[in-house]
Amino acid sequence: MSRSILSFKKLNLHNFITKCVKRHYSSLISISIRRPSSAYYSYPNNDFFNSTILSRLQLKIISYSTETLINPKIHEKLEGLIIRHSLLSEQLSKQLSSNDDPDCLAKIFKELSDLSEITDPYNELRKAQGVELEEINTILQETTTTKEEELKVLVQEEHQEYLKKIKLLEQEVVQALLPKDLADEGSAVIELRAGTGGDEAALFVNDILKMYERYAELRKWKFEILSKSEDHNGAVKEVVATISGKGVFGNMKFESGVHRVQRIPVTEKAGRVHTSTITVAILPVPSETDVKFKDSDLRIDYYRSSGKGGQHVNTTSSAVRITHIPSGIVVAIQDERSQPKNKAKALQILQARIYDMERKKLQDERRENRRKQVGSGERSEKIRTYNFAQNRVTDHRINLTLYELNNILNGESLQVIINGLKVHSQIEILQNNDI
Amino acid sequence: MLHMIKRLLSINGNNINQAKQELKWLKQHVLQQTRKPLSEISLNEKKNLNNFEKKLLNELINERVEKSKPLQYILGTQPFCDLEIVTKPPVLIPRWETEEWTSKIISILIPFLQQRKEKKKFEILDICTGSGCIALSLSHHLPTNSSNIHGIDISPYALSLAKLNHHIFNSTKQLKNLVKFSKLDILKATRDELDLFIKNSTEIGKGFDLILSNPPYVTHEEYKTLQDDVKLWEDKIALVAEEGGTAFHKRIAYLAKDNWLLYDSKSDLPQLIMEIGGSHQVSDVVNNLKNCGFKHVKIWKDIANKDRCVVAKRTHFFHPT
Repeated sequence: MSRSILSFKKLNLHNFITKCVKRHYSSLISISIRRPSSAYYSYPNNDFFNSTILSRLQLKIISYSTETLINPKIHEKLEGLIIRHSLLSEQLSKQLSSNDDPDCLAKIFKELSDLSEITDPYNELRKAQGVELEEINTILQETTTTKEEELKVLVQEEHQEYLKKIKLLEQEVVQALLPKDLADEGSAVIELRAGTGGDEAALFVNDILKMYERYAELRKWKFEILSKSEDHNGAVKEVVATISGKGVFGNMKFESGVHRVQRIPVTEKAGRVHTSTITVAILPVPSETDVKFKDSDLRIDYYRSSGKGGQHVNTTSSAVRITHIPSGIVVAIQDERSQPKNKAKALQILQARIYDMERKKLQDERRENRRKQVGSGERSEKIRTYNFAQNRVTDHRINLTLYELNNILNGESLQVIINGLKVHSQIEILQNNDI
Repeated sequence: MLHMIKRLLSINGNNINQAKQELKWLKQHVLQQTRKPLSEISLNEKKNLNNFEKKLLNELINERVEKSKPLQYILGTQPFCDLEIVTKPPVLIPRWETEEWTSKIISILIPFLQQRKEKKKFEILDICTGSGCIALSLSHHLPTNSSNIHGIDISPYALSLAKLNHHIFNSTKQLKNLVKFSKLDILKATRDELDLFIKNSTEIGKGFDLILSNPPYVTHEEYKTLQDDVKLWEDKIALVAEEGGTAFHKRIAYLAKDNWLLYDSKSDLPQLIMEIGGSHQVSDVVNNLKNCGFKHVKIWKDIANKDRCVVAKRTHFFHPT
């Protein structure tokens, strides 16, 4: 448990949080309780947390729980990096004075600058978490008993600012540690298919589709259905849609897998609970700027470029032929009487052709990805269960259960689960990768 | 049609694609004369020509093949930086190399002029303007009312064609900056004449910010070897220069060497750009420029990888491109 949370306990937590809610500061509250060695989230079952305000607050709390990312293991890793950094700095100053091995020097420089990307924010974080926060906490505790409301609020605000700062720094450290995936920033294609369970599964495809549509709307992303195969009673066998916007894939990628529903189908007359599944596949979409070629990849030929050129000749041959060396694609244009215009046209066409080629390649990769992600759509590979009778949704990968099925299906609380999954994935990457 | 292509082969270096392309353009030109509106004519149209049109086309091919008339004089225009420049013998036909470096300087000037805060307009001088292609392209592309452009030439043919082009683009509202053309013999002009010219043509009478020129640079020896379509049709004074083809470059460098013809601004832009005939002229022109106080001189190559322009600046640093 981090220091900041401990300090909260000393406060009149209920008052504090209520105030924050009134003042729309809920997003600044940071409370998280972790079990060691797994990213498991639950809430103490007492009256306090069952209050209506807090059941809504829970979501916020968990969505800001990235603090837990810096666990002892990561901490150890970071401390190791700090030591490595100071060791290298020492070596560097030695090398600089002796100056006999420039290659070695360059190597040290490179490693140092790479390390600094992680250690610089980490050092700042340590400073902020240490002395600076301590001071604020002391003042905070002193003022809890004071009658001067304004001062109290002021100190609390200051405290919150600090927590916010620490959070940002932590995120920076974690981001620096994590390998970067450019696809995360871009848009995504989502594919939903009915799995086991017949009509009931198909009906559930529609429910999940609505959930994503609403979620995209809340995130201000553009949602567009590309194809939909529907049967007579409104059940959807399969649907493909695009969600475009910033960071779509980075959030949506965790939705890939088998989603299970347990409920009494509207078609069931005997009132028995059925279990059905649908499969979800999320694919990244490349951005337009992904298609770029280096000048060195191009060979540009002009049909009469021998001779002196300029005033010496009056050439009418404005033809331009551009070869894209890596792919072997050739575009030749001679329609325009202006050579620069022909060149511009040829480049434009070349760009389109290369994009087309890369997209085809990408489609193959996607097919492969989909095969890996979705599997056969059997119940055993489930990632999440939606249980209507118990009003709960459980994500099995992180063992997270939320008792607010409707809020999830209307997209409002989906982000909570996604954030949990993000944290989980970050922890996995941080622990598995030998950073 | 095949016999027409065959006839056009000789003047197209026996390149059949090029001959076909020329025939397409000629045919399109004939159709433009005989069938209007223009929108009905497309390059790939397989419309059969009537006898009159065939006769006309044959006459054009005769001119092209028997008389070595440049295609641009037959068609009457040459595209240059998005303008259809009217071409008339014997004024030099705009070359693609010139078009290339003109677009380059335009792309350098645009961001500079957009950020420039001075009220004084940016003064540009185009020496040996010919058809006016460089001056008019600058006027067309540079930010509205950011610059004054002045084109000078010795040839009355050139000046009247430049003014015709100016009139055409002005009436189609394609010019965004003031352009003036005047007669001036850059080689022989006296100091007084130049003083008067600077005073009359620039806003504050203090010289130009940028001098551009595509001056004659063909040597006497080279001239003898030129193809008929150049030698028989284009004005010799637009092509040939003394001193190994560098007489104009040296004269311009001399005139620009103090703060008189060339106003000393404090930007990162080049101050003087002159087209050259190739690498054989580089050292001569560059040394001369350095002697005239141009500390920074560099060469721009054209897309055929030939040394095409000397780009000079007296002080400060160059634009990064």
